[in-house]
Formats: sequence, C-alpha cells, structure tokens
Amino acid sequence: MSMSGVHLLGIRHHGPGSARSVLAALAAISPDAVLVELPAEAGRPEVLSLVADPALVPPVALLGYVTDHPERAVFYPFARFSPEWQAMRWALDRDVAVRAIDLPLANAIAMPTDRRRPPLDPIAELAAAAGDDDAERWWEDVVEHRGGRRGADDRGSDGRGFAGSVLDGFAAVAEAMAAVRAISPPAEGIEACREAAMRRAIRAARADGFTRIAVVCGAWHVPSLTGLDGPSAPVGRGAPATADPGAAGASPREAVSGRVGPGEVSPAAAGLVGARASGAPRVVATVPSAAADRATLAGLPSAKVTLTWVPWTHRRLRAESGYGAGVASPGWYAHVFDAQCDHQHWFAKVARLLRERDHQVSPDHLVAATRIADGLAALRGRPMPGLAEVTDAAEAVLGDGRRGPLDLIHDQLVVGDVLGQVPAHAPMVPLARDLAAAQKRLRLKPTADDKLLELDLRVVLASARSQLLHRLDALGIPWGRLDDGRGSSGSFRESWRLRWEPELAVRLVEASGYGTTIAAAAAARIAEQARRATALGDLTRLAEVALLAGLAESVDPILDRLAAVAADRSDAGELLDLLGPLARIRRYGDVRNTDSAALGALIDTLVARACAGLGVVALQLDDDAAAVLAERLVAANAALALIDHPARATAWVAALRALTGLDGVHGVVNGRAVRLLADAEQIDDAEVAAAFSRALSPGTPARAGAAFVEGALAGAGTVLLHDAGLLGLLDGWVTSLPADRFDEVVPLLRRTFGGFEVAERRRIGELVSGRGDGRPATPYGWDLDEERAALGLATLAAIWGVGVSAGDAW
Amino acid sequence: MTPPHPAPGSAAGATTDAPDPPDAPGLPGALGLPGAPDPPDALGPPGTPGVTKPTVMRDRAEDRWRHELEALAAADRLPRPPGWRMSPRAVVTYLTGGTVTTTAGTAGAGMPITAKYVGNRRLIEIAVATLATDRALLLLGVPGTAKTWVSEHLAAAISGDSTLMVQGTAGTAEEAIRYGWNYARLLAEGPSPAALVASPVMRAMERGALVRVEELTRMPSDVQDALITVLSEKTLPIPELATERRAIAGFNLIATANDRDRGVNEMSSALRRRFNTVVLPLPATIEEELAIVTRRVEELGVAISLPPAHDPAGEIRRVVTIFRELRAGVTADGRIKLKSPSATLSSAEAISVVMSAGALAVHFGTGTLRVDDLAAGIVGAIVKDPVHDAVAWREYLETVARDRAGWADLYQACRELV
Repeated sequence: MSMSGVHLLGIRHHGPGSARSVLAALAAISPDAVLVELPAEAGRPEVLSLVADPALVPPVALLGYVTDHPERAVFYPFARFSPEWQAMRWALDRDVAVRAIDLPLANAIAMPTDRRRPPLDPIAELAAAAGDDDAERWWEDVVEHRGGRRGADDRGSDGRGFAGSVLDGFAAVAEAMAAVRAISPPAEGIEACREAAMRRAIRAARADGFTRIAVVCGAWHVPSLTGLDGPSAPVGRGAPATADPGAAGASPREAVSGRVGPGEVSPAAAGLVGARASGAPRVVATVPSAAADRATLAGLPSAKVTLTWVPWTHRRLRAESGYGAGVASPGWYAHVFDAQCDHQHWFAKVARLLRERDHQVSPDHLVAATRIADGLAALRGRPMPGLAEVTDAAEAVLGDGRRGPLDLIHDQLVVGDVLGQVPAHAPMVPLARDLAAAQKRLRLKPTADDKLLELDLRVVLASARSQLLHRLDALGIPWGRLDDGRGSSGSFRESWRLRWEPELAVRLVEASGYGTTIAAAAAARIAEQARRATALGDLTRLAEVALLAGLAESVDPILDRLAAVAADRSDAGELLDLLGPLARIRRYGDVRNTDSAALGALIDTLVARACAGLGVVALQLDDDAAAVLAERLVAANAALALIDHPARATAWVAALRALTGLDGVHGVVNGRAVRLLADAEQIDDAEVAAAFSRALSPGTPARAGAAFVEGALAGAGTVLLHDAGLLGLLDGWVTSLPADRFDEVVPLLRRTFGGFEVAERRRIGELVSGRGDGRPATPYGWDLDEERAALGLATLAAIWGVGVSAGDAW
Repeated sequence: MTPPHPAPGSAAGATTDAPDPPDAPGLPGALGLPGAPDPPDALGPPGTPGVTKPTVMRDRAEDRWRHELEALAAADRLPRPPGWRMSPRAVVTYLTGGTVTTTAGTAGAGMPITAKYVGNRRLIEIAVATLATDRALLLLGVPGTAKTWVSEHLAAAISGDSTLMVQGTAGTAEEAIRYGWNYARLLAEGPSPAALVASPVMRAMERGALVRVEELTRMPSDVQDALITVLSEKTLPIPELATERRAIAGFNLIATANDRDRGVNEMSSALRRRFNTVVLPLPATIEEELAIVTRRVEELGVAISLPPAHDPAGEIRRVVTIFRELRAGVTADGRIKLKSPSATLSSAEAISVVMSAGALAVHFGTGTLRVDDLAAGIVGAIVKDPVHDAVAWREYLETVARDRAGWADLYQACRELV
C-alpha cells in the first residue's frame, strides 16, 4: 500500500491519545519529512538539536522573544505527551527531516495581536453534535483514550490493522473539523497568515522532493491544508485528507453517511454533519492557491527574534495558570500517555502516595477501585475509565468519605509537580540576560562570598538596587538577604547581605517561565502566588513585597484578592492584624509616590468592619486570648496613627468606648481600651478615674480588677506618677482587699508592676509610702543628671531660637 | 370554632403515601420519610364517620413505583449483572429520573421516570457501580440526607424487594445478622435446618437479593463484625449443623450510617475495608433544596390536604433559607457569621416544619398557612438545646431576620415565641 503524499495528522495540543496516534501513524507512514506546527524559527539547527538532547527533559517550553525587547515574548509549552514533541523526537531519532511550518515568529510577534479565539469552540461543537454536553470528556473518549489497552493489543497481533484504524481516525477528525469550519467564518488576520505560511511550507517540502510527508498540526487547521498533495491535486475541492483512499477510507461523502470510519469518531462526525445539514450549507473548505498565499504573506512586518528552551512545570500547563491551550489534568495525561490508560497502574501510584502520608491502603482496595472504575465507565457508556471514573472510584474506595486523600491525589497526581530540565549549553534565557544587564547597570557584581550592602533609598542608584534585590527575592532567587530589623518598609535604609550561590543560576532558568525580564517575571510570580494564597497574612506580605520591589501595578490585584478573602472572615481580630501591614504599605506608598486608591478604600472598609465586629470578639475570652486582643488593639491603634486615619476620631473611638462599657469584656482588654482612649485624649482624667473605680469596686472580681490594671497600665507606670488620684484609687483598692483575695491578685499585680522601669517602681513606692518630696513626678525618677540635661537644653534653645538658661530647666 | 375538615373520602384515599408512623415525629428521618405530623385519620376527631377501609400507611417502594420498574425492566436491553432485575444504567435512571429508553415496540417506551433522588447523579452512579461489582455499599451522611430512601430504592430496583432489612440499634444481636433458633424445635429435635430461623441477611444470601442494614454504626462492634465473613467469603457458616449457606449471585449489602454517629461504634478497619463509601451530602444549592422540599411537601400535602398558602413557595423558601444559613454558620451572602445550633436542620426537617404548619392550619387555624404556625415549627426544629441553641437562634433573629426585607412578619412571630 502506497503511503506517499501529504498526511495531515490533526491533533489537539497536549493530547496524550493524539500523541500516541501520531506515533502509530508515523510508524505506518514512515515519512521522509515531518512537518510540525511551530514557528519557522524553531527549525533552526541550534533550537532543534536540543530536542534530541537527552538533557532536555519535558515539560519544557520553547521561548521566543524580540531580541532587543525581551519583554515581548511567547512561550510554546511541551509536555512529554504533547504530539508535536513526540513527532519531533520520533523524526530526530531516525534522522528524518523536521521542519517547523508555522508563520515565522519574527512576523507573528510584530503583527497586531489578535487574541480572539476561533469564533466557535470546535470541540464543543462536535461534542454537542454528538449529543454530549461535556466537550472535554467527549474528546477524551473519541480521541485521547482511543487505542488504549485495546490498541496496544491490536498492535501486538496485527500492526497493520491498528495503523489503518489510526489513519482512519485522523481522517475522521479532519472530516469533523471540516464540517465545523464550514459553519465558521473564514480565517482572517494572523490566523489566515499562519495557515498560508503552513501551506507554503508544505508546498516547499514537496518541491524539495520529499514524497511521504507527515504534517502534525492542530486539528482545527487540517481542513485548510488539504489538497496540497501535488500539482495534479484539484485545489478547492474536497480531496481526501490522505492520498490513499484505501488507507484513509473516509471521503467526505462516506463519512457523512456514517458507513465508513471504524472506531469511535465516525458516529460523531455523522452526528455533526446531521446537525449541519439542518442549518448551514455544506461547504468543503476552499484552499487558496500558492499565488494567493504568496500575496497574503507579502510585506508582513517583522522583528528580530531569538529562541531558546526553558524548563516548564505541569502546574503551568494548566489552563488556570493563564495558558490558553492549557489542560486541566497534566499529571493524568502524562499517565495516560505512559501507561496506555492502564488505570491499575494509576491506582498503584495513588496507593503509594497515600501510604507515604499514612493512609491505609491495601492491595484489596486497589482491586476494588479498579473494578469500580471499570463498572462506572460501563455504566456511563465510556470506552474506558477516564479521570472522572478513577476519581470517583478513589473517592468511594479509598476516601472513606473524607476529603483529604482526594485533595492530595488531585494536587500531587492529577496535576503533579513535574519540573522540566534544560541542558546547560542551551542559549541563555532572556531573564539571565536581563539580570546581567541590570547587574552591570547597577554596578552589583555577583560574588560567592558574603558582601554587606547598605542602601539609602533616597539615592536613585540605591533605590534601584533595592528594587532589583526585592524582585529577585520575589522570584525565589535570594541573592541578597535583608538584615532583620533594618529593612522595615517605613524606613529609608536597607541593609543587605549578598551572596551568589551557584544554584541561583538554576533557579533563574527555572524562573524564566514567568517572564523575560526580572520585573515582569517577578510581577507574574507574585500574581500567581496571590491567586493561590488564602491566608490574609500571606496576601499582605505579597502586597508589601510588590511595593518594595517597585511593582506598584501588581499591588491592586493583590488588594482585590485581599478584599475578597477578608470579606469571608468575620473575626475582627484578624482584620485588626491586617491594618498594621496595610498602613505600612500606605505610608511607604506615600513616601515612594506609589500610592493606590484601592488601598485607601480597602483600609477604610477593614476599619469599619473591624470596629463593627470588635464587640463580638472581645467577649468570652480567656487570659491568653485577651492578651492577644489587647496587643492587637495597640497595633491597630498605632497603624491608624501611622496613616492618620480619620476613624481615629470617630468609629475607632466609638468602638473602644463601646468595649469599656460592655459586660463580659476581659479586664485586660477593657483596661487597654481605656488606656488607648486616655492616650488619645478622647476621655478625660475624670473618666479614666471612673473607669478604674468601676473596675476596682468590690462588685468586680479581684482577678478582673487586677487584669484591668494590667491592661490599663500597659507596661508603663507613668500614668500613676502623673495622677495622684488614680494612684490613690489603686492603693485604696489593694489595701481594701481581704487576705484571700489579695493572695489571688498578687501574681497579676506583680506581673504588671514587674514590667515597669526600676525608677518608676521606686518612685511609685515612695509616693504610696508617703516618702515623696512633693516634686513633680518624672518617670525616670531621681537619677536625672541636670548638668547633662542642660547641654541638651542649650541646643534645643538654639534650634527654637529662645533663650533658656540651664537653671530654668525644671 | 369549626375547623374545615377535609372530606372523609379524600382523607381515606390519600393515605397511600402517608409519612412516618406517629411515634417518630420530629425525628429526622430520611428525605423521603420526614418526621411529619400524623395523618388525618389518626388525628381526626373521635366519631368522624367514613374511615372504614384500613389502608397501609406507606407502600413499599417496589409497589408504589411498580409501573416504572416494570417499564424500565421491559425496555432494558443492556447486560444485567447476575441476579439483577435490570441493568445498572436502568437502575440509575430509576433513581435519578428520566425516560424509559425507547425501543420500538416495547410497552412503556418513552414513559417518564420520576426522580427519586434529587442531587448529584454521580453519587448514584458510584453506588450502583459498587453494587454491580459485588462490593458492599456504605451510605454515609448526616441525618436527613436520604440514605435510607436511596437504599430502599436501590433494593427495590435491583432485587425487586426492599423488605430484607436489619435495623441497627444498641440492642441488635448477632441473630439479626446470622441466624437464630426456634427454641421449641431446638429442644424437641436438636439442631436441624428446620429449627433454624434465618436472618434477613441469610435470606438475602439464599435468594440472591440485596439486604439493607440501617444505622450500622449503632450496632455493637462485635455484631458488626459478624458481617465480615458474609462480605468477604460470601458465605455464612453454621457450625451447629456443620454446614454453611453460600450466597447466590445477586446478593449484596447496603449499609447506612450517620456521620455524626461515627464515634459511637466505630467500624473496625477489617469491616470498613469491605465497603465502598458514598457520602450523601446536604443539598448543595438553595434551589436544589427548595426543589426537594417543595416536591415532598406537595406529595405529602396530598395525603393530609395541606391548605393553600397565600405564597407557599415563598414560605418554603424562607424556611429553607433559615435552615441553610444556620447549618452553614454563615448567611447566604457570606457576610455575617452565625452560630450553628446543635440540631441537624436537614431538608427532611424543613419538610416537617412546613407539613406541621399545614396541619396546624388545617386543624386549629383558619385553613391557610400562617406565619405564626410556621414560626412555632421553626423554633421547635432549631432550639433543641435550651441554652446554646436559643442563643444562636436569638442572634440569628436579631442580626439577620430583623433587617431582611419582607421578613418582618416572620421576625415578629418568632420573637414572640422566644
């Protein structure tokens, strides 16, 4: 049987069944040239030779970027189960010519971006025509799981039969796609140019004397590439997708009637055509002539581009990571490709994973899970168990009705943590190039030994250096480590300890999937982490990092996410915790002119909600929780002061006042609220005294009174020194306690007073015992050195421009 | 006051699907068996004439839906596991609703099948696939998630017999699972097959049918473990007679257990391993739950002549909303956190509240569903623990119900009761 001509193998990117079918088809066709839908530059020897290099381990991505503007870049990810990848490897292993036939990236990247997807989702259309509402599942059944275990058996007994059915399958897919394209608007813009370029490349391959040509391209493009078999092939008519009708079998008309096309595709194609017959006219794609294609491709804009390989991950193959052609379950697809749909093997992997995490899984469980998966597939009329079936089986047999194991399976196996590798001699990634340029510009040399770097952020160079280091940190490349306590975001100084470890170069390559410049990659990684973060603390930390890294535009999305997450939280305490970091961001933003309106609005909402919920969280607290809340009040108060928030005079005051009047509020919290109000001069001395009096009256339990004192004094006794009335009140209370209650409160009071300055304690003691000399109280007692103070006073007088003599000091 | 009473004929004729027996009001039953008020003939004033013909209060599933089961079995051309009355796919259709698959010339083709289980079809598929692969099925869920209901219908569809059932209680003995003895015969004749009293499990093994074990975890653990041999070896040894009973193909076991009871008599891992678990959840969305409650209330309402409310759908929605929000501990918009009361607040209890409000209206009210009657039922269902639950309920009233548009009447009615 002759296999000469052009064989169009329409695939789905990242389809494991497509990949297997492509391999089988290649074996059957034995082509002398394999044409792959990749930008023409991918055919350059330095790019292609790496595909054959065993050190290039998928998942990897082909990265193309404009040489002078690396931020304009495109990634073409490949997994091991990507049909294009397998086709290239197959050809390179056998010294068969490989050509990349898509529009050169040089043109594509320079053209106006047309982000519109095809007007129809072809697979959804086909699935709907076949009567299946789940397009993904339908495609899996008819294409990706095709030739699974059964196919492997066929190959063992009768290789020809399997190859024949595989080619029929491709013909049927082509047929189905032709039907979908017949009811879609014609390709235009960059889409039309791409298909013209592919036709040009196929014609060129024929002109170069190749006779058996296999074209691996997206199924969508197949109809537009038909009829290029040779000069004699009539253009513009529905030629069969392959040259040999005996092998291909399915001419359009036959496929319509559903008579031909064994395997699972034909009924779908028939159903689809049936749907079409009722509506749109039946049109076979008209393929433009070579001259028309030349005209289409003439005068396209162009840019100089560079291509290289970068490591990729299964996680980033997912559609959720923002990759348009992504797949939902890369780990499962890898399994389907490797293990030929053998789901016993899948369950064995599940078992190993679960045993590692101390779940009990016996072989009997696996037998049961396998049988249930088979039973479910039969029940649902699927040719073999898919991901839904093995997941349901795992849930019923291994899950015991618990969620945990299933989440673990999904995260570790269905998605997976596979990271690709790129050989060391691959062309330098633009990220590394960008870093090298930045290092040169900022005069920061990577050195293997520790180096201390002090930065004054008011200096432009230092500020740029700081941003670079923060960006690298955000990328997971900790070249510099910030010295603790010196780098708070409110200050102008940062102190870094730099050390370039060799593995940072590896991390740089790994991070190159995020972008082509340090800034873009850092922003992308922060955005990814923000999408995954659920803890409020993580999100505020990310926002802070984004600001420090000078990525102000990244801050707003994080804040949006923060607002969404915070809306689900009802614990006012957690919300209070947020205020500190957010206020710092706000303040820092002011300093750096990167303020954001969203931040102000978010803070306002959080303050309002925290104030409203304060009364609820303050009730029924034990000692530890009360101490935490008291500290939270202080921190939030400080945060509001830092940004001088208007609530300091309104809602916040009202909320604190409400706390002091509430029954059941722990003494520490009550006392601290009184203290904060007094410090802010929102209540006067008389009110403070009244609050003390209430708390220390006989009706209040002694422990609660002592807790109130602890909260109100907040580690400093100054207030007692200033206010004799208050001290008297406290003194009276302590002396009025009967012996047993006194014993009860002594530890608490001791803790409170133990936190004071020694001098304060001494002074309070003197006041209480009546040994004071009547001089105005100072918190620092009698050890004031008046001579030294006078020196300072002279300077202050000079600054203020007033005459003060040393003798007037007090 | 003369409450309007339904015509005797309608009351008698409507008892074909009466709810639970009167000794279990308020107990959360399965979705299909809500703890509902007594049917009218039990409640009817003494001396009511006309109730002459005794009718069973509740038909078995295989009798009530006989026409559907027969139509499905007749049209079924798919392979059936040994001992099954219909194919697994037909069983799923019976449970989740649909139409009888059309086969030319078959009686009943195209006949609609009512949904017995409203909810995730996937779960029913897993359950049926489990039974088809002769592993035992464990239905888990909080009270009122239709565990018993599903197991009854599975047995009815697969074996055509839902009567082989063991009710698990703290007092269930091993005889209920294995076999007992007719002691008179045992004394007279010694151990003999004639003196043996077979348990439902043993009868199911002999017949190749499904047996149901309700509330498995309420049984003492040693009694539970008597099932291990049955499930793993598919045989029941009778050492006294030096023989054994081997299960006929088609035998299998469905157990139900309460999520909240799991700690009572935790299943041994040896037994647990023999089961596939399907967790029946509470309805995922308010629309799903409303559909369940509304449909059941309509069905049951026929039985006790539920009065026409001015806005029955609106009243049911309010009840379901309250139950869902309290159960979840947060309002539907996710903005206000709530305390969850100790009561289960399942859909079954929502049905029960609406039904009892209807009964109150019929027998003691004006004949229309009034918000006061509903309020009494709602409070009764929620406040099971006088301290904790009352706080949770009062908080809900004050923080949520008070400010919600259109709820003023309900708020007032409930406040008067607290």
